[in-house]
Amino acid sequence: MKQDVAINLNGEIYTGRVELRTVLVDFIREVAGLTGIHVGCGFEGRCGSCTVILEGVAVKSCLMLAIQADGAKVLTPEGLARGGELHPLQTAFRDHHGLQCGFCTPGFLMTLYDYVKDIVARGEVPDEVQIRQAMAGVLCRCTGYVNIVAAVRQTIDRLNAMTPAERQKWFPL
Amino acid sequence: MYPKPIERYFAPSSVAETLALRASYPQAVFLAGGQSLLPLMKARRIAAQTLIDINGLRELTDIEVGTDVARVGALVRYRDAVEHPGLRMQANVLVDAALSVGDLQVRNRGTLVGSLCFGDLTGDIAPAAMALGAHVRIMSSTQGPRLVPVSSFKGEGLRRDEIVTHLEFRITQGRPAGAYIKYGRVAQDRAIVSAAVHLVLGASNCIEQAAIVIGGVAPGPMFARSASQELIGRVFGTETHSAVAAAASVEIVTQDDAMASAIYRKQLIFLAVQRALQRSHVTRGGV
Ligand SMILES: Cc1cc2nc3c(=O)[nH]c(=O)nc-3n(C[C@H](O)[C@H](O)[C@H](O)COP(=O)(O)OP(=O)(O)OC[C@H]3O[C@@H](n4cnc5c(N)ncnc54)[C@H](O)[C@@H]3O)c2cc1C
Ligand code: FES
Ligand code: FES
Repeated sequence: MKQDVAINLNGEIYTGRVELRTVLVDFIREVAGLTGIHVGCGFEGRCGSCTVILEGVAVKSCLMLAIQADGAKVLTPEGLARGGELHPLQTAFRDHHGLQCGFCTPGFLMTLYDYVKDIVARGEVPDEVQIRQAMAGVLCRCTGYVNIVAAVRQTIDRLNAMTPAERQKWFPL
Repeated sequence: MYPKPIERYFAPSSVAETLALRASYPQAVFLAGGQSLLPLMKARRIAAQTLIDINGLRELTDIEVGTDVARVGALVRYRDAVEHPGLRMQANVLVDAALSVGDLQVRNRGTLVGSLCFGDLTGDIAPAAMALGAHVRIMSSTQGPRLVPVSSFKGEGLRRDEIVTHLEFRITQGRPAGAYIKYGRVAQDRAIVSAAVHLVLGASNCIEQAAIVIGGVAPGPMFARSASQELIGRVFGTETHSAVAAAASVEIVTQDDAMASAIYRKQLIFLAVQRALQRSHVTRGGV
């Protein structure tokens, strides 16, 4: 069975007539052509490379059907930069060399988007163990995570130094 | 891998509508957080020709902590539970268990009730819910609601016209304390062994009720009754954690499987119970 699906991806509506069994990650990559997120597992939903922000929270887009996101607002890595300026998370990953092959990076960016938004809103400063726990849903087979933790720290510091309005701009969802 | 073709997809917005759909399509599969269902559909271990997506049931998204009963709706996600201070006050064991599930993304989607319906041996919610003496509330299109203790509930036992609407437990007089500790192969993994502890304290911090449940063991989570008995009547803070933990490790029968040996599980039971008791103190601010 096919059905029409319309999803707001990074502020733009994408539509397509897809099989009911189409998973969200395939709609995003193949129908909308946004290949920023990746697919790293067969069926188990462990690697986290497909993570997107759905209505404000990080979810694995390989564990949802596209039809479930019909009418929803979704953010992918393509939507992180604003007006040509990289998102504080992206800047931090570059500054700290938080990636090697880069396959996992989109999953980290989207998962950490949810995490840092929450942490900064609560005014908490997490320790290394807490940061590593927050990233448990994304696997990196290259970096060993050390530089990623450093990037998260920098992001939280930079966000804390901003006014609430400046910060808001980086979290549209 | 990809799910088998899906013929029909429904997204009802009320329980009544859901039950009516279920009556018309007895083979239909409910889709909650999808964190167990989607992997199984993709592995083709489940074929869902008719899917009823219950994520639109707004009436089941609340956590209500009343004076004598607490109810967790079927669409409460792990994250909602973790962020609910009232639930933490009454049932720290359940909040700990929710926080120990998978990862941030899984906790954003997966539901506590979905975990109970799925009935996985290594699930974290069942042991915690059992320690609380919790029930699942089941609605059907033809009969009134029924309550089934989590300890005897198996997802497969649901009739074709039924849906689980809530997880609920009684709030007892006295002050609650509790914690959940699990051991997996790596941090945040499925449980090889877990321990759920729930205590009710009376006057002068005397332990009036105690429940210890061990997870990760076959054929399902088990009450450690003699270990719990060791705690009754003691003053919270003076009980001997190692004696209680040893009792649990002796009484629970463990299994050998691909994850761990039976003997290793026994050792983990000791550690998990000990740590869960210690953590029950920490989360109560050391009363
Ligand atoms: C990467 C990963 C890691 C995980 N790690 C853990 C872990 O550490 N610990 C753990 O406990 N779990 C873990 N899980 C599983 C997770 O807890 C699931 O969320 C949970 O098992 C199912 O809940 P759900 O809401 O996603 O249900 P679904 O997957 O949507 O449904 C599961 C089953 O229950 C049925 N069902 C759901 N809701 C109802 C209802 N209200 N009435 C009747 N039937 C219903 C469905 O039809 C289906 O058969 C993990 C999952 C993933 C993908
Ligand atoms: S593709 Fe690996 S978690 Fe989604
Ligand atoms: S940088 Fe290669 S997997 Fe993370």
